[in-house]
Amino acid sequence: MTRLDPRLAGLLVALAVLLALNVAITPNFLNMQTLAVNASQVATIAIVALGMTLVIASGGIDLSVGSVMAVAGALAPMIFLSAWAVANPGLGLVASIVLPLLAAAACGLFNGLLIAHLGVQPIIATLIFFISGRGIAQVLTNGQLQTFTNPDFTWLGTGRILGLPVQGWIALVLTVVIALVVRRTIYGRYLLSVGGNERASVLAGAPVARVKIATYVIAATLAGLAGLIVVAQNSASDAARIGQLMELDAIAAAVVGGAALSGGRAPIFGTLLGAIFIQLMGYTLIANGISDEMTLIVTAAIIAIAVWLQRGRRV
Amino acid sequence: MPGVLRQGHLSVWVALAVLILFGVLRYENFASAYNLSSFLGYNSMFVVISVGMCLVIMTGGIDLSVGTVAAFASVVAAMLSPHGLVVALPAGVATGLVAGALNAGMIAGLRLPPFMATLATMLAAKGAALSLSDNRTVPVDWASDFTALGMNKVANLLPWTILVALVMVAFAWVIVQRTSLGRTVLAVGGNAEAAHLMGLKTRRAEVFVYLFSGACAGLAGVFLASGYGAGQPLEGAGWELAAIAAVVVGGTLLTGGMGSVPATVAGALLFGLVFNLLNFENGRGAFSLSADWQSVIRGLFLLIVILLQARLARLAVKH
Repeated sequence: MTRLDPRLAGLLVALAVLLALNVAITPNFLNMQTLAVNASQVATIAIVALGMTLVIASGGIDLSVGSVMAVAGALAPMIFLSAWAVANPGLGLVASIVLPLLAAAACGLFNGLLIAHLGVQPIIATLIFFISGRGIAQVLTNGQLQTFTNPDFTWLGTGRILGLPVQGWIALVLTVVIALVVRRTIYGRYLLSVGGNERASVLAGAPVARVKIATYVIAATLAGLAGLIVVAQNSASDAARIGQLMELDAIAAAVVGGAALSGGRAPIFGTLLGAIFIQLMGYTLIANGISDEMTLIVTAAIIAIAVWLQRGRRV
Repeated sequence: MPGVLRQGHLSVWVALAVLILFGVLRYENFASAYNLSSFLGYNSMFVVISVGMCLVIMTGGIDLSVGTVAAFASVVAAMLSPHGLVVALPAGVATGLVAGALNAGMIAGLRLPPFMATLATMLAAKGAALSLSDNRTVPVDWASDFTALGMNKVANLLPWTILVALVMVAFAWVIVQRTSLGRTVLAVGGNAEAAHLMGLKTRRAEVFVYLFSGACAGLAGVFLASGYGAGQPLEGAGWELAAIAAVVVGGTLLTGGMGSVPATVAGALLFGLVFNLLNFENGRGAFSLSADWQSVIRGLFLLIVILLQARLARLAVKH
């Protein structure tokens, strides 16, 4: 990065102010426990928001991420609690991670096909899975809460590496990988061109349909991973609750991070910072005794201001 | 009846008629007064928010805030219910109008994208509903006349709420069909820049649709509190998507510039009917679909409608 995007710089300043404020007023802010709690909470939002940023960069939106999380989160315990997996714990563990991710990818493929080949608007196409995906997860589990003890699997949500939660590392690695994909691969170039000007991309011979499908598959797979992490974190899977309202958190993180809903821009590091900013803001309010309800109102104001600032710069 | 039965919108009416016929023939109590009045009572909330959403979508916008604004308005109305309907009803609608004004200010004034602006209002309204109600449902005052709106029926058949909802429908329809404001609403959705360059008052049209949608959401909140006896701060989740689905099923494209108010009403009723029929099917006991299946079937239903629309749109392009 030769020069810092002004939007990113603004967000960094805001984050720094928030951190300084916390150091000053929040009791016990500067300790490892606080960091770990925040890191484990922000990780799932960040992972989903990375996929959302790619989708938004393509000029689309994905409302189905929360439901896809529920599908993946419902499948994993069903697999490793099955008789076959109990008999083959090693393979069972692999299957209980890989198969739900494949199921999530299939959901993304479905979204992508509707959008790219049938020309259905993204908000409507992903609305289908938003409505029915959670229902599918609940039907799979008979609406029952699945609880389990499986230390190997729960490591995904409760383990620590160098004092930081595993999912925090996963989010960090994924951020770097996806940022590289956007900047260094042909897919990344096509993605930005499709989102920037779809008509021109078609005329220039870019494989628009394939790029869009790939984008929704990536977003859904990342959502599936987040679903697995949530289930691992709780040692329980409740299809009715996993990933609820996640689409809003992810969209908010992406937009605060500098993504424009009109497409053509994929600020991956901005998204990570956006997710951290929203998490930290919520933590600041709650740690200082301000209610959850006020947190919602503050989040709303932050989103509005972030979008307004973006507008101001473009004109 | 020009406008009502125009080609593109015919399918939703046919589907509605087929499902009603199916229900009447298959289930004994389907055509009963009790079922009709409870069906219309419950769905009057969805009819009214769908009509508001329809006008917003005609301008190419979207209003994600209707569900939580309705919940907020239900809390406000329930709290004011001791003063009777005369106070609580306008207060609920005014709550919706305030939210609508916020949306309109951000969208028509600050030129924020509707999706993000109404998303912010959605969160803020939820926060406001929860903090006003202290995170609890707010019981209404049964001694006042507030519950009359939601619970009384004309001739023991038609709930007052559906009649009020139909007044809103008629208002929206007249605006779209007969006024220059309505023409401008459609022109903004067709091509906002061209409409503006032609000298149409595009901002006024945008302000109007978000105010109208807010008022509709407020009214739905009053229906909720009055019909079910409590202001419910946590209700309304997903209502915006139900309304969007109703609009889409009614043949209105999300890109704006076209659409039909009556077909949107049919779309909202169609969605409600799918649930109603499922309940009857469960009641017969031949096989039982859990509540979880309902959302799966609703999603499938939406998928079928969208696939049909995509086909129709392609055919239309070819001709």
